[in-house]
Amino acid sequence: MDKTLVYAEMCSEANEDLHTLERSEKWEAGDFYCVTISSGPIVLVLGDAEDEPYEMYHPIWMLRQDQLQDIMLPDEAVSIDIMQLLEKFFDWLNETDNRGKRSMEQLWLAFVMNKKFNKDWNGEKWILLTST
Amino acid sequence: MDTTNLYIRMSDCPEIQAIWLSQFAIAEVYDYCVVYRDSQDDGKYHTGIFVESPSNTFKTANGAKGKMNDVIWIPRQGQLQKIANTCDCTDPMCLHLDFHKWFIAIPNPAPDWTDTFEKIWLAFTMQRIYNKEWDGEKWQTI
Repeated sequence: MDKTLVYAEMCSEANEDLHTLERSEKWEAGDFYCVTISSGPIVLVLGDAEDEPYEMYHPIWMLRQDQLQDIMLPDEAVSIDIMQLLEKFFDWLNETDNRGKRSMEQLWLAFVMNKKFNKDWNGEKWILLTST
Repeated sequence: MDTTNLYIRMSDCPEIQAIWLSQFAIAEVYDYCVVYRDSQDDGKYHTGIFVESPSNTFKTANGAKGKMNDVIWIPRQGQLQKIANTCDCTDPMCLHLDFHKWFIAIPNPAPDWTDTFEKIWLAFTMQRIYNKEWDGEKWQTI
């Protein structure tokens, strides 16, 4: 899991868009999140869904690869859906400049943001791609 | 996250479990997703986040406890990618290129372990690192 601040920043900036997609507002055990405390930002894992992160710390949900893939998959996905999604992901990797993306999580988040919102990461924020 | 019985069976092999057993004591807390059987609940698997292992027992974040022998680590994709990554390179594309080459050689019709990303990455990792493939029942040396 990418626990870097770069990825936390990418997730934070994507938060508004991702919230327009279907996902229960409820936190789930195994969710990764970043909070900033007095000593600085730290990444934590939610052990139990009952122990929600304190909202006062403005937790940033850091999506795992499976959570990003779920966004792209139909409910009850079967083998063919998974294989097709992987093919699409490979095609996208081939046609996109992904230099600077340092983890599979960063790549999958960029893929989701591109396919769902037509946006690309410019190093600071997600910008809308203009059609040529 | 895949918590199906097939993924649990595929993960429950000496190669994968040994990695976890050698790492959990020094890993960051809550890094490992595990399953365990509850003997009072028809032996059904339950999922939890591993917390600690005092004297050969385990404890999960949701309060479950039991014997260490009864717990199985089910790796996340990122953890499998860490195992499968044999070079020092920090570019994720490096591993992905090898993964892609392997992926396009998956036979058609696709085997039953192609229904989740976790199973696919586990199959890739087992072949790349341990030269084994899943025959539907267990890992066989190729």
